[in-house]
Amino acid sequence: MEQMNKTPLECLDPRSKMMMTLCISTLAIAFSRPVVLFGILLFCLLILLAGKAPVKLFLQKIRALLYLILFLFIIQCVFVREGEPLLQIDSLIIITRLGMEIALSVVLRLLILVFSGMILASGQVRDYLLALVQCRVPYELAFMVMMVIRFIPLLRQDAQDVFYAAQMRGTELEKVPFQKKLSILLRLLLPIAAGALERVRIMSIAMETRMFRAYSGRTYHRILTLSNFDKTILLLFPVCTLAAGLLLG
Amino acid sequence: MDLILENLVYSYPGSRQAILRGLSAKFSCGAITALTGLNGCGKTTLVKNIVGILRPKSGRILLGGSDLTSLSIARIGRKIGCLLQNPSCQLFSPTVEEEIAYGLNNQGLSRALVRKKTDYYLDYFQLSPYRGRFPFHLSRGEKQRLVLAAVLAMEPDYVLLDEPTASLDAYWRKNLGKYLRKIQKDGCGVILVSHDSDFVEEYAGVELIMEQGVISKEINLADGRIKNGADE
Repeated sequence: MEQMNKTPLECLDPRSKMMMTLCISTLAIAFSRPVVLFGILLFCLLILLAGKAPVKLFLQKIRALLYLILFLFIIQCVFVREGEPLLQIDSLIIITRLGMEIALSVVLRLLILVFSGMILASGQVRDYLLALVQCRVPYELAFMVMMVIRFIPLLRQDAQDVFYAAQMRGTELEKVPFQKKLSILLRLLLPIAAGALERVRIMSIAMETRMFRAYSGRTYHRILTLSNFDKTILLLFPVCTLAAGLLLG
Repeated sequence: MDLILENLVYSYPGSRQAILRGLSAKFSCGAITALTGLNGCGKTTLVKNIVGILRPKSGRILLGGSDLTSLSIARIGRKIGCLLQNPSCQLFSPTVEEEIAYGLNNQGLSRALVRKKTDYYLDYFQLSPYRGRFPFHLSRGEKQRLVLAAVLAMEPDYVLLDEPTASLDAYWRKNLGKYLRKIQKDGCGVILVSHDSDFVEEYAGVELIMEQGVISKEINLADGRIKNGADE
C-alpha cells in the first residue's frame, strides 16, 4: 500500500540513488565546459522528471539559493577581465567571453550539485543508514552521517524561530544597516548553537539509556534488496561516468 | 481597539488542504479571550498568521482599523506580543536581564526607563536571582516565565499566549492569571490559546472553539451563553 503512493524515484534503492548522485556530481566537478555541464544538468533534470520528483516545489524551497547563484553569475561575469570582450562601453570592458564561460560553468556546476542532491532528498534518512551499513560502512559512522542529515532541517527551523522571535520584539532587520544586521545575526547564532549542543546532549543521554553500542553487532528488521533496475543503475552509472570522463575529458 | 480577523484562509506551501478556511473572529481590548480546539485544528497556525510569521492567502487582520497583513513582523510585534509554545526558541540574549531589555531597547526607551522596567519584570516573575545567567541554563518553567516577562515588558496592545501554563506549577499558574487580570484592567487584550480548561474557565471571559479551520462556537464564560458559528 505504502509502495503504491511512492514516486518512481522514491521506489529506487537508496544505494542506487547514492550512486547516481555520486556519478553526476563527479561529472559536474570533472568537467568545466559549459556545453558539457549543460548536458549533465539536462540529464539530471530528466532523471528527476522521469522519477516524478516535485521539482517545482523544490525550486520554491531553494529560491534564496537561486538568487545566490544569480549573484555569483554576475560577480564572475563582471570580475573576470581576460578574454575577448563581449560587452564594452568605450574603453571599459564589462563582460568578456572567458568571464561569461567561467560564470556559466560555476552556475551550471552549482545547479547540478543542487539537483543531484534532490535525488538523495527523495529517500528516507533511515534507508540511507541501512544502505550504508549493508555497504559495510561501520554502524557508528553511518549513524553519525544519519544524525547530521537529520539535524540540518532542525537547525534551520531553530534559526528561523530565533530570527522570528527577535523580529517579534521589534528588530527591523530590513531597515538596519548591513553592519548592524551582521551583528544581530551573529548574536542570534548564540542560541542556535546552544540549542544544538543541548539537543546533542539530550540525545546522547537518550542513546545511552537505550544501550547504544551495548553489543558489537546489530540485527535489522528490514533488509534492503536490489531490484534488477537498481542493479542496472549500479552497473551502468559508474561505467558511463568513466566512459564520459575518458571521451570528453 | 478591536482585533478583527476577516475570512482568513491559509494553507501550508505544497499542501492543497487549507488549515484556516475563511476564519473570522473578533477580539476585544481589555478582555481575556480563550482560543481552544483539538490538536491540529489550526490554533498555532492562526497565532502565527496574526503575528506575521505566516501570511494568510486571503482575508484581513485588522487592528484599530488598519490591516496588519502587510506590516513587518517587527511592526506587528510592537502592537501584539506573542509567547510561542516552545520558550527556548524565543530566547537569544546572553543574560536573563538583557533578554527582557532587548525589546525595550528596540522601542527606543531611555536607558533609565529600560533599567526600571527590566527590574520590575525581573522582580515580578522572580527572576532577579538569575539576572546575570545565560537563559539556556534555566529550567523550562523559568524560561517560560522569562519569555513572558520579555513579551509583557513591551506593554503591547494585545498579548497572544500559546499554551502559557504548559510548564508552570500551580503557584505560577495563579500568578500568571492574576497578572493577566491586571493587564486586562489596564486595557490590554489577551488571547489565550490553551488546553488547560481550568485556567480558561477561571480567567477567560469568552471562549472561542476552533474546529476544522473556523470558529465553530463562541461561549460567554460568565453566563454560559453559546453562539454557534461565531465566524458568521
